[in-house]
Amino acid sequence: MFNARDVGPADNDEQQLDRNFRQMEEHLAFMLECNENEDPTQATWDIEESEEDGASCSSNVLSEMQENFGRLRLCAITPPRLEFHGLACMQQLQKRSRQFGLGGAPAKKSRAGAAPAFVVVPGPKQEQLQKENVWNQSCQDGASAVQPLTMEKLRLIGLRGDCVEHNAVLRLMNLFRSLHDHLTADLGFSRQNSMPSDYLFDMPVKSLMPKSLNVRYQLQVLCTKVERFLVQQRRILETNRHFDFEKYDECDKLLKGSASYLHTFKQFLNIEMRHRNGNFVSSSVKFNAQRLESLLIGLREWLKAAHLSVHVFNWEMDLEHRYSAAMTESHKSLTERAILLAGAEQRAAKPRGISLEELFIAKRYNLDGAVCCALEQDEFLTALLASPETYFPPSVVAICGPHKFGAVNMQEQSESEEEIEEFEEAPSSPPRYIGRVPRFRS
Amino acid sequence: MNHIIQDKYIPQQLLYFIAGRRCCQQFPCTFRTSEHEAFANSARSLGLRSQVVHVNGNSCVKVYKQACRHYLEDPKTLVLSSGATLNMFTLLGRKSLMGKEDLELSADLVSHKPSASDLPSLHLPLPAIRPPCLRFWTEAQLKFLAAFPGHPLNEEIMQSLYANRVMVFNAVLSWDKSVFLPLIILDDCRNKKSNVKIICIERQAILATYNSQRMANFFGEQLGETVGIQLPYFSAVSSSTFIIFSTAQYFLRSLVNQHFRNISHLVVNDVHLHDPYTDILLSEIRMALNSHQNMRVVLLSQMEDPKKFIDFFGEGSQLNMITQPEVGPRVSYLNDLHSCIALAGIHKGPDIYKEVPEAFRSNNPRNEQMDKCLQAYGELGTDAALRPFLYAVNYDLAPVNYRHSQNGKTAVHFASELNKANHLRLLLFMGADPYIVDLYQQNAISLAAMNGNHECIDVLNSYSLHGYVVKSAKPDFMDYDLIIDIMYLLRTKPEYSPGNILIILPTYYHIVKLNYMILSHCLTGSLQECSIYLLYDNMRKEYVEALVNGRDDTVKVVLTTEIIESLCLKVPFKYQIDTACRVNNVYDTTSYSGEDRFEWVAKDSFLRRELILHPNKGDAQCFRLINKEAYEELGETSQPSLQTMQLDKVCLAIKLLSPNMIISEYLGLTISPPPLINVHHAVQFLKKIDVLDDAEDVTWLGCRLMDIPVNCQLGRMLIFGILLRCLDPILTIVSSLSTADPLGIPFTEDIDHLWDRFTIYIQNSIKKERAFLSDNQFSDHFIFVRLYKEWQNRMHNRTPPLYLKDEYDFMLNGLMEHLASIRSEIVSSLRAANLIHSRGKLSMNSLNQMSGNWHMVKAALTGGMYPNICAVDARKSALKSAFSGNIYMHPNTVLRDFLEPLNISAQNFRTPWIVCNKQKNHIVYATLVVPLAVALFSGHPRIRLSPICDSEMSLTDRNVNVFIDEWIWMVMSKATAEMMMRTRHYFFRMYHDLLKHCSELELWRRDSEPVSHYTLLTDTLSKIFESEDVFVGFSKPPPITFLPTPQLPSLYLLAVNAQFSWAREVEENMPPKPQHFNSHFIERQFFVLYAGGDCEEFHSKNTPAFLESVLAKFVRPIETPNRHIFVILYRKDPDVMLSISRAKTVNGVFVLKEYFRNNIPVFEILDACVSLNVKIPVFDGRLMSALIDKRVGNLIMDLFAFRHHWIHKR
Amino acid sequence: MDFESKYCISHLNGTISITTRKVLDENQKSLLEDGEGELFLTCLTKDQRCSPERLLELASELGDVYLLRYKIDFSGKSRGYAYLQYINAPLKEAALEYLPMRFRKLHLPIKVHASMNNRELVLSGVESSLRPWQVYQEMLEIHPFSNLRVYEYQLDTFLYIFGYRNSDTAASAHKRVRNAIRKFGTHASIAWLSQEHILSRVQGSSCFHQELSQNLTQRGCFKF
Repeated sequence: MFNARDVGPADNDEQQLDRNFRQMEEHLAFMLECNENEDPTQATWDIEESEEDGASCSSNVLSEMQENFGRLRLCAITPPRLEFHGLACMQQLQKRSRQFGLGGAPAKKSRAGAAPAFVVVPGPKQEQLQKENVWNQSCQDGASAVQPLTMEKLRLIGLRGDCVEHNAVLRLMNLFRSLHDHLTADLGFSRQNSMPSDYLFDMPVKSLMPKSLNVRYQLQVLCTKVERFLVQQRRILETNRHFDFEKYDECDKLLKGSASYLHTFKQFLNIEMRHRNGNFVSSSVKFNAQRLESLLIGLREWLKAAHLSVHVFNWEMDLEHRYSAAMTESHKSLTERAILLAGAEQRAAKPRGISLEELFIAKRYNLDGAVCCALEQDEFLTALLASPETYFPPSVVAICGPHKFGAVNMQEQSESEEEIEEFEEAPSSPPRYIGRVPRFRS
Repeated sequence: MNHIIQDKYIPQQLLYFIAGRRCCQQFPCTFRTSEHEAFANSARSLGLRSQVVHVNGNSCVKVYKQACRHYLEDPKTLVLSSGATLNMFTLLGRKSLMGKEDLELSADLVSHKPSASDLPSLHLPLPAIRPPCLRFWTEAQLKFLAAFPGHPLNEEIMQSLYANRVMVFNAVLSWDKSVFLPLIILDDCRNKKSNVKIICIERQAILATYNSQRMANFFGEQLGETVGIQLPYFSAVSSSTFIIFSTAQYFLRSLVNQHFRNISHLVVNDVHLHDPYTDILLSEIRMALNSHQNMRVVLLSQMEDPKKFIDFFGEGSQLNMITQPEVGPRVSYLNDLHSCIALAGIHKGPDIYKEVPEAFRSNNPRNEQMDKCLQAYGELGTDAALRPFLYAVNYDLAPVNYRHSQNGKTAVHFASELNKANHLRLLLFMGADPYIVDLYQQNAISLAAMNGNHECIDVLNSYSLHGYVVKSAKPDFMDYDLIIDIMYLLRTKPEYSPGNILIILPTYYHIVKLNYMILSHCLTGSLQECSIYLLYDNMRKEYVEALVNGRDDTVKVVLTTEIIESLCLKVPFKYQIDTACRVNNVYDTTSYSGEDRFEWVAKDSFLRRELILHPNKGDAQCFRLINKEAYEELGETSQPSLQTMQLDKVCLAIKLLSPNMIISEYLGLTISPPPLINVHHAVQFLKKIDVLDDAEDVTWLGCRLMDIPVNCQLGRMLIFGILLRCLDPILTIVSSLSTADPLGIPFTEDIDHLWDRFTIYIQNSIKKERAFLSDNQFSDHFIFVRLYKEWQNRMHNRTPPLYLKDEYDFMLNGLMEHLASIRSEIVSSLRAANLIHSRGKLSMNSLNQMSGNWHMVKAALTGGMYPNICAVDARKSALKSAFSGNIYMHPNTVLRDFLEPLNISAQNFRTPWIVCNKQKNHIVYATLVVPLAVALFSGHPRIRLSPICDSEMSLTDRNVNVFIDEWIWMVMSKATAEMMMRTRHYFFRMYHDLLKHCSELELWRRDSEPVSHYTLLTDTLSKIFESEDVFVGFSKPPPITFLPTPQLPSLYLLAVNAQFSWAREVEENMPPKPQHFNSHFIERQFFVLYAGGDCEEFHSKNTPAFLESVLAKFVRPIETPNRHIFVILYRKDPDVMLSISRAKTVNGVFVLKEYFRNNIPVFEILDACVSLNVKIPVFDGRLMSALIDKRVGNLIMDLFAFRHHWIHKR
Repeated sequence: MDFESKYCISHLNGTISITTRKVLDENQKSLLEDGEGELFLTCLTKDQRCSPERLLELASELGDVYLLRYKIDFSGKSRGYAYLQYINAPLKEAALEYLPMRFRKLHLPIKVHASMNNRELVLSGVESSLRPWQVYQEMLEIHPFSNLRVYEYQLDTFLYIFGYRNSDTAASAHKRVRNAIRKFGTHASIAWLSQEHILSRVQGSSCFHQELSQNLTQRGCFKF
């Protein structure tokens, strides 16, 4: 019942039947034939013996049957019928079927038909084949000998060998995507810092670019998004206006510059930008696309500059003006700790070499491998030796009686964790835009 | 502004990064080139490393801490072999191939996501519900109903059910709730003539099958009439069906299309166990109750307080039928057991192997190394000197009690001699035994005392007070020897009256192992005969049937897993041996992988197990292999598995159930919400392997993987196997990864008492066997394929033999039986998902065209295992991988040898890329793959070249940097990059087409355009990978032929146990002699017979009748109740004993029932005789037969039974 | 049509069966179960136009249907063919005329044939150590059959032909035997027996029987 094979679709038996029929028929015919057409010596033996032997064999079977009859009975309430046809009977049947032209006949024909196929290929044809073979071989040798693929060859298969996108539409799409990425980029990464995550499990980045190949539509979406982005940046900027006008001015220019692109884009929303399968429909469209591309690249640079400047300006003002004394203090201690850690990091950059003692052990006892291995696990082994208690459950630790070495270590660890928690709530500037960016829908 | 950014902002950000927890960070693309330099400079000054990477066409800067393993010191080069280049060139040159421009390849720009309606609906809609028109209960049925313990409460139950939509019914297992409740509901509805359709949800398919079959028997019908069943590969339902059994997982699957339509009652069994899918089902039910006002829900549980379910639903009532039994069984804990056994004085027969000299250890490099480690420590005694030894124990599986070859000292000896109390303590924690004596008859204690090392004496004193057995205090240590001892206690001591024995073990692996041990003890006659039955989670129903239909007059020994807690058997048990341990697959967020963890079960589980014992008899007894103290500390209930498990499949299921809900939100509303971090990891992982897309919607891949009963990663591997048309080996690998590994290298703890001292030897032998099977292919996955193939060949296409060889052989057969059943289950699920067709390009045959081609299998592995890919960084001699933190190679993998550092192993590696499976931070199975495979198949299916490569480099530069994903970084020539990328597109277009269109059978049947191109593509890929393999320097793999239809024996264990079960003996010994309980009174006679060739030959040459006549010369009658006759076959040159069989008369016919078959050299027997002071027998080849001394006979029997494959293998 | 009261639908693995609820007399029932008057419908489409209910509705225009066996795949879609039997078996002839016409009118591509009702399986290549009576017994354990014919086509080598009640049982037997084929040795195989085959019961039975009875004793043939 659980056997999966029970239900495999292979059981569309009715349809497979036909094939099976043929196969079985041929098989049986073949068997019968083999039986008859064995090499003469054996055949004569067969004929001589067949009468007796067949009978004796089947009587053998019969006696077995009778012997086991009682047991057979036991198995089923109404035992199925059983017929037995001995060898002799089969031979008779075979002959008869031959007369009727059933069974054996087709198989024989096919065998006869197959025979000429084995005749050697006629002379001239063979020569030609040989020539072809030689040529093929030389081709292959030659090809493998030619090492570098030339650019011309690559061109033949439609590649340029410069790893640059040549399709204008796709180039545009890549640009759009890149811009979306830039718009959603989060420059306040302190939150991420506190997470022990890995690349695999980074927080998902929301850069939902609409799924469409329509350039005008993409552009429209982008414009709206950029507009909104700039408004947001503007708001941040304005809250810092009174702190430092010079910097404000610089940022202001950048924002205005970015915004100016939006006006240029308006014209693209009304002109033809159609393409078919990635090929723009006319040369004017192609030209427009080129223009759009350079504009988008320009916009990207402006946006980068504006975003970064506004953010850093805000960040600096946060630090200088908005932080309370406690916040500044915690920030300072954090920085100090980071500098300490950086020291450790720098030390780690120089790999721990093999110590003299280890070298001695390796040489003296011929333990290079083991010492090297131990070095690979240096950190763990050091920690294990220093405070074994932390690595075993309390029930195991208890077996050696009271002892307190590891306690100090643990305290230290918990302390450092606390600090990280603190850090997680690093002060953030008041006007930070916290609400969700509404998902764009068409 | 700019200088503030560069001088102030950037350094400050880096400081934040340093203070944070991450190992590396990618900064947003907003930074410009000039700032990248600033990043690089200040990173360098802080000791960080930095790199500019290309992601989505944006260049970003990334900084790494020193410990981060994502940083490849330098890019791995990809150079194609000339053969591969040529083939790829020819492939790409084909004009007809994928003729259309590549715009459509950028499928991510066009929406094409599948919806629920694209999913195959597995269920037919249920017919409309109707009132039942049943006959009235017959007398027998009424009697059957009345036999339920809950029968008198019928009224109360029904009332409660009418009063509330949700009812929690709480009663012990023996109430048989999931059969009883549907029946009374049906009965009630018949009386009231109300509409009824009851769905019964069981936890496991086998439970659904078993219970539905019992209920069908109650009606005297076939399944599919009144009682139906719906399971993945078996369903029988008709319009007259009123009760349908199913499993939670499968029922949830049907909800996608059916939404609780046409259901009147839903009975969910075993809710207290918190099966993950049951928990999700509860959430679904809670939602459905809003729209289906009249649906009644009955939750069946066996727990102390089911209130939390009522709270969860916010409505409903509970009926609690659990009362404390007046007389509980006697319970003994580990503490008492040891003394109890010691007192009982168990006679287990001569332990011939106990005194076998450790002659194996000499010329073995690993022993030499270990000796030197000890020697170094003994002479220096410093921390540094202990390190190599600690490494060997912690990372190299060396036993902590390793004894020096010359002086027999262990590390503990040295520590106490040198007065290193902290070392001593550490070693004791690690399980070292201070009572071992060395060659001079000193143990650690006496050594410490001799040298006056007081600190050590203190430690050892407290050890002797508390720590008698540290080993058995761990849940992951399975004390088989103790279980055997208890078996002896129960079966040979008169104070324990005979009764059925239930042994609860954590996994199938343990069951098989214990099965052999018990069997071998029974067959040698030291343990009384009994019938052994097995129950485990995904067993076939024959196993339960065998137990249920087993004869009552035998003692049944049932080896079972946790499933016994939900399987209502009508078999009374008197004794229970509970290992108190279960295995739990726990997702570990620090190593990003699931890990099988052994843990103690919770207290409530003990209680449920206790109640399985026959309740009426007072003398039932429980043996719990856990310390009393440890038991006291256990929690009341165990953690719901949803909270610990790997969530990939669950997330997928949820996404299909409610596509518009965020997965974490949904899971947060379940009854046992998992930790957010687990959900987050699972979702991100699924996105990584393209099961979910960026917006968390299910992709086509997700749709197809839904019904495949393996986790998503392995499912994806199967898809790659199909795409590259090497399904068979991939199937073997996938199913091997889902079962226990017969060739895993054992810990000391895994090796039983008898062979404890041979740990190193056994480990070495297995390692050697692995190396042999891997045949220099640098692949552990290849071992799976070879092992499976070899095992199949050994079967010679016959059913497996029913005699025993040795434990390993038995285990292998048992595990392979399991593997084969998983395999066939996967195949039928692939068929059901339309990924395998019966004809055409997706037929089994065509999917196996490349199966003999190991290059292709490796390629498929690479694609399927992504992102589990590591790179060797030779310069730093470290492994780099997506999973940061330290990753090491476990000694299990063939990529490294024992005590071999990575830089040595890496010298042999042909490529830096390793595809791997890991447990925690250890790579357990690994395969080296060519760089091209990584470049072609890893990363997101839809990446394009231009966004990932560093194209801004000067145009004249021939090479280009390619970032396949966040850390895989390669450098290759531009031409190669373009060709590789184009090939990649073609491949992934095939991938999408397959996943999207695989259910259109017609498409794959004809030799249509795209389909024939795919054939061409895979053919070319196989050539490409072959030449790449040669180019890189892999040796030619041995042929791995694939058998078109592997017909594997199923039910091997069932057959073996039936063959040797006592029930059969009784049956055969007509007339049945009532109970001769103590088999020690049985006289045994042993004959040796000379066999010219091997056993096969002997048995084919000599008829039983002839043998009977030979034996009859010595004894007559041959069979008497208290005389057993054994026949030992032997041969000359070399002198070996071949087999031992019992002569029996079955139904008046003489037969030889073969017990064991193996090759035992005669000299071993002679040695054993000498060591046991038995008269040495003479085996003379000229004699056809001879009667031998009984003691020698028993000894030979023991030699057969307790032979160890790895020790005695020549 | 009151479907529910007249017919009972059931679903067992890959088959949806719609059976009449009428109580038939034993004789007739047994004849029908043997596959009398069975029709084979093929070229069914996968959509709702050829749903089993719809087919039944159309078919019952001619008379009461005894059984419709509709084959489906794992996803519940038609596998393209079905079997149909009327309670009144002779209706088969009329149905062969009427149904195609009806289907054509509805633009359904369904074709109607008389079912071959193939119910014989051939087991060959059995290991020589297995004697016929053992095979008989083993096969009984796997799936009960109604008769067995053993042919000795070479000395001590036998060909087994198993007859089953109807093609449905034969099909399920085929599946089961295929799974257990290893019991009969390495080269054993099970296959359907074609109706055109010389050993087929349907065709050559009459003359063959004659011969059999003649040969019964002299040629070593016998019957139980």
